[in-house]
Amino acid sequence: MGKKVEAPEVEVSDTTKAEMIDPNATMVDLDVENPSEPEQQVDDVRAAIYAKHAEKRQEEITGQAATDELPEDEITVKVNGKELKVPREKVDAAGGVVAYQKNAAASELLNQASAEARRVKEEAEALERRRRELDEREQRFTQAQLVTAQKPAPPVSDDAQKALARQYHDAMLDGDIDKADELLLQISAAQKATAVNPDEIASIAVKRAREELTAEERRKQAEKFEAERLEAVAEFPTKYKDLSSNDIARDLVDDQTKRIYREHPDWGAKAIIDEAAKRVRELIKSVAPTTASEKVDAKRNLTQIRAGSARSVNRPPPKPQTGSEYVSSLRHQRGLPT
Amino acid sequence: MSNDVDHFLNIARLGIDAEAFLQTPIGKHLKEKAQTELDVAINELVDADPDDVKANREIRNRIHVVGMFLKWMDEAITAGNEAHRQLRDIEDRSRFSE
Repeated sequence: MGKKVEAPEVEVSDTTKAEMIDPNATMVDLDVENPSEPEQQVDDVRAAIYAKHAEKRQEEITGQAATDELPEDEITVKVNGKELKVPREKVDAAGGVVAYQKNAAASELLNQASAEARRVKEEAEALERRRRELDEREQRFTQAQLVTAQKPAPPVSDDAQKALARQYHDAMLDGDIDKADELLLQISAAQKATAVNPDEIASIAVKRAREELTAEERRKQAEKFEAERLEAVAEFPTKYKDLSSNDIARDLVDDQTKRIYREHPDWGAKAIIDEAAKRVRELIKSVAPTTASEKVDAKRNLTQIRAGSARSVNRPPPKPQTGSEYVSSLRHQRGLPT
Repeated sequence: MSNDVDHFLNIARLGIDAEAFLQTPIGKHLKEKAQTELDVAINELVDADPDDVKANREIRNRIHVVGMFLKWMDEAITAGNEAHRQLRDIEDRSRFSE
C-alpha cells in the first residue's frame, strides 16, 4: 500500500509567496512503484525532506484539528506570518489563496502605513502644541520681568529671599513649572530691590539740594519785602500827608494794601502802598463835591462856626444873674441847703 | 435899689459864711462847747446861793458870754436868710413893674 505522505508546508514569512496548505492538494503518493527515474530521485529527496518534518507537522495539524475543527467553508490562510481563518468564498472571490494572501498582505501593510502616518501626525501636533506653550510661557516671563522692572519692589530681607529660594527648589522637584517661574521672578525682583542704585541716590541728592536752594531764596525774598515795607511805612506820613492825618483814610489805606497784596502777590511793598494810597484818594475824590455850586451848598449846610467868619448865629445875650440866684448858687457851692 | 440889693447881698453872704463855719469841724466844736458851758452855768446858777451876788454875777457873765456867741452866730444866719428873702421880693417887684 502506498504510503501517502502529506507534503509538508514550507512557510515563507513576510512574502507574498503562495503556500500550498490544502492537504488534498499536497498529497503525494510516494508508494507508487516505478516512477520515472529522474522524477523518482527528486521525489525521493523531497520525500526524505518531507519525512524529516512530517512528525512535527503531524503534531501541529493534529493539535489544530483537535482544538478547532475548521468548518468545511473556512480555510486557514497565512498572511504576513499570521494565520487567518477566512471563508472559502472570500478566497475564491479573491481568485485563490495566493491572490487572497497577496491582497490581504497588501491591505494589512497599507493599514500599518496609515496607522504609522496617523501616529506621526499626532506626534507632530503634540510637538507643535508643546512649542506654542513654551512660546507663551516665554512671553509671559518676559512681560512679568518688565512689570517688576517698572514697579520697584520694596527691599526683601535675607530670610525672605531664602524662603523664596527654598520654595523654588520645591516647585522644581514637584515639577510645577508655572509656580517655579513665578518664584524665580520674585527672587529676581527681590534681588533688584535690595540692590543699591547709584542713579536713584544721585537723583534724591539733587532733589534735596534744589529744595534747600528754593527755601533759601524764599527766605531772602521775605526779608527783602519786610525791609521795603518798613521803609514805605516810615515815609508814608510825609509822602501822603493828607491821608496819614485822617484816621479813617489811614484805615482805608490799610484795607486796600491787604486787598492789593492778594491781587498782586508778586509786587513790592512800596508799590502796594502807593497803589493803596492812590485808590483811597480816588475814592475820596469821587464822593467829595467838585462843582462850585456843590461847594456853596455844602458850605451853606455847615452848622459849625468857623473862626473869622462874618456870619454868626444870633443868640440872645446871657441873662444876668439875680441876687437871689447868686445867693442860691453860693449856698449850693458851700454845701448848704438852698 | 441897687444899694439895697448890695446890702442884702452882703448880709446874705455873711449868713452863708456863718452857717458854713458852723458846719466846719472847728465851728461844730465851738458850738458844742458853748452849749455845754451854757448848761453847766445854768445848773450852777440854780445851785448857787442867791445871796452870793458875786457868784451869781460871775455865773451869769459866763452864761451871757456863751449865749452871746451862740446868739450872734444864729443872728448872722437868720439875717442872711432874711436878706435872701428880701432879694427875691425885690426881684419880684421889679419883674412885675417891667
